[in-house]
Amino acid sequence: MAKKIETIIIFIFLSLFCFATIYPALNVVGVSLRTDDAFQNRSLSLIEFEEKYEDINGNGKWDKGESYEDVNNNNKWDSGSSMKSYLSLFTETDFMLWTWNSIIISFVVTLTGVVFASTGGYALSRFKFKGREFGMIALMTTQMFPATMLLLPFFILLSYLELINSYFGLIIIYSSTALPFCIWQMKGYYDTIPPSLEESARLDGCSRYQAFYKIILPLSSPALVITALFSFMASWSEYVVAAIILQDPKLYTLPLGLKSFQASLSTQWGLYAAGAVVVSIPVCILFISLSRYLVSGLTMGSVKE
Amino acid sequence: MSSVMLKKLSKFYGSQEILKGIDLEIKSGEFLVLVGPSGCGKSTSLRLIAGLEEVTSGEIYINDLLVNEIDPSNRDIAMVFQNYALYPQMTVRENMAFGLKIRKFNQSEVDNRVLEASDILQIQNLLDRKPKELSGGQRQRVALGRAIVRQPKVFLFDEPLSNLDAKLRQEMRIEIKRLHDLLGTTMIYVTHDQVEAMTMGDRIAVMNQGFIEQIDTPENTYKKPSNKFTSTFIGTPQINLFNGKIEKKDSDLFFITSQFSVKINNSHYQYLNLNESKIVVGIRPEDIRYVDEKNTKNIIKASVNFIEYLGQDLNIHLSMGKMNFTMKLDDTIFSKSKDSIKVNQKINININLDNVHFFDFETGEAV
Repeated sequence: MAKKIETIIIFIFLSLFCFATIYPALNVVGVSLRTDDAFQNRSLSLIEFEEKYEDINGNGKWDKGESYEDVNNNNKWDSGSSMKSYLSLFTETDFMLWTWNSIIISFVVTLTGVVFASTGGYALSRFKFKGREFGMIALMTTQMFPATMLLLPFFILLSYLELINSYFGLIIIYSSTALPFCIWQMKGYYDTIPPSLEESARLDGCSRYQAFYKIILPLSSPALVITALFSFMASWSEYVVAAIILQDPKLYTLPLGLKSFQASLSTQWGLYAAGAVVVSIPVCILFISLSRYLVSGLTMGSVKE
Repeated sequence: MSSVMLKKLSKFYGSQEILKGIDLEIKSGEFLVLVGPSGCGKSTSLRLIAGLEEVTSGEIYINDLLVNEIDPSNRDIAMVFQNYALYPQMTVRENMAFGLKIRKFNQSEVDNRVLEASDILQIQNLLDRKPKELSGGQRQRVALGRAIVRQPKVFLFDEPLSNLDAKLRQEMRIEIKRLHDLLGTTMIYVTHDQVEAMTMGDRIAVMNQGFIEQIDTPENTYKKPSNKFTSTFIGTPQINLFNGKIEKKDSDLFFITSQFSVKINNSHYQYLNLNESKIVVGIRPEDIRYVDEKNTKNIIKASVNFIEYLGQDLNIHLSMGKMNFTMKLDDTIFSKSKDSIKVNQKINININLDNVHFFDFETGEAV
């Protein structure tokens, strides 16, 4: 009996916690389906229905002066939830351009991260060379600095290289901030793979390079997924660095583009929320489809086999 | 079939010298075992032959070809590792075929060789499984199969049976020896287990601290050890070493310790090399005999400290004064004398000096 009560209490607690976690995200979805000023709406409902009105002129839509039921008590007629904001997002803004920019930058950063982290981590794991220890400590040290501390040095560096306001400049910064963690992570994973596998491959006739990409790389797929996800996330949803580096609206990434919906006097909440929902869809799909790699990647090396 | 020769082979790791200029010749078709304690350099020697480590100085020849600068992939060597080193993402068939595919063998040749090897090792039913679905013994067979399909000049084994239980080790020992008889290929086998060394090798090379102490047949290594180290390393239980001296009385030589004195037969294989001096004598446990109380000739009295029951044999741990040593006793004899052989009791023993070994007191080398 006591165990049952305990189970029920835990269930209730977890349900409340889940609800508290999910509700804000659902609220954003709800805002994206409403008109702009519905953000101030105190109603908890996610989906709203059109308020009933008296169609005096019989034109099938509410006109000013026609009476209506003010269900939301906001002294105005509400048209209810619709996909209008999404439609406007794609047709009346540069959302597709921002998406394209984000895709290019994120793809290149992810590719750079995977290529350099997989090979750099392998070198640190398998080879003994001068500067190896120093290199590893240096990689660790860079992780101690938050990105905002590095904004000014980044800006000065890119200015000298004339890479301000360019894809390449942004890619360099995103790659250099994501790579240290990715290299460490790959190195740690390679350390768990017995060197005898590569030795066996070399005796079987492989060159060092063949042993790496035919044997070791396929084995390290969980770690590569983590590296790819981390690199992708570092660039897809990053705002501060992009805001400093990019000034031309044609080069705006999605976070910058969404921020442009917020003006000093008003904010287009419907568009903003719709944009936020669309931007998070690729990330959700990636996480869900790669979740099994995430779990194995996060616990890798924890138990000696 | 190929011969392997090591000439003044040295290996340093940093400032630590692992191999100290060893010379070794392995004849074509021979099964040579490198045996020694951990850290003696046996695995390093094997890895140098395979090309997985760089030689510091010295030369390695395979079939009279100097291979120091030749990549492991081109030495035509197959190796069986202690942890099997099977490719986890491939099936057994793919593991075995991998080396052949890298070398661009045609598919029919690959298939034939894989099937042939799997028949020899009786793993036909495992070909479509992955390594994680196999037991330890099965994995070891697959590792052997992967080596066999290559038809290399030389097989290298790096403690392949260490991870197996005792029963499986015995089975695999027989299996590997059977393979050697079947294939006739030169095999170099590294182990720290002297039972494996003695039962498998045509010759065994006993290594210690980067040197080769003795290279000989198992029988000679056991019966005529070249020094104290080899005598103590080979043989279970370990040989008993007694410090003493040789004295001449009339025309006979006697071995004398603080506890006993025994005449040395002039038929002993080292007799002609013996003279009056300090000496160390190695006596195998089986050469110390229990004597029942009725027999009082040439007896030595010793105290029983501990009895180890092993089934067919017993190891009786004895002491005389400060000397501690071990006697091997057949269970049949023990059963008849159980009341007499008990812990803390004194028993009568005598020593068969015909099979003992005399070592120089200073150098430890066989006299």
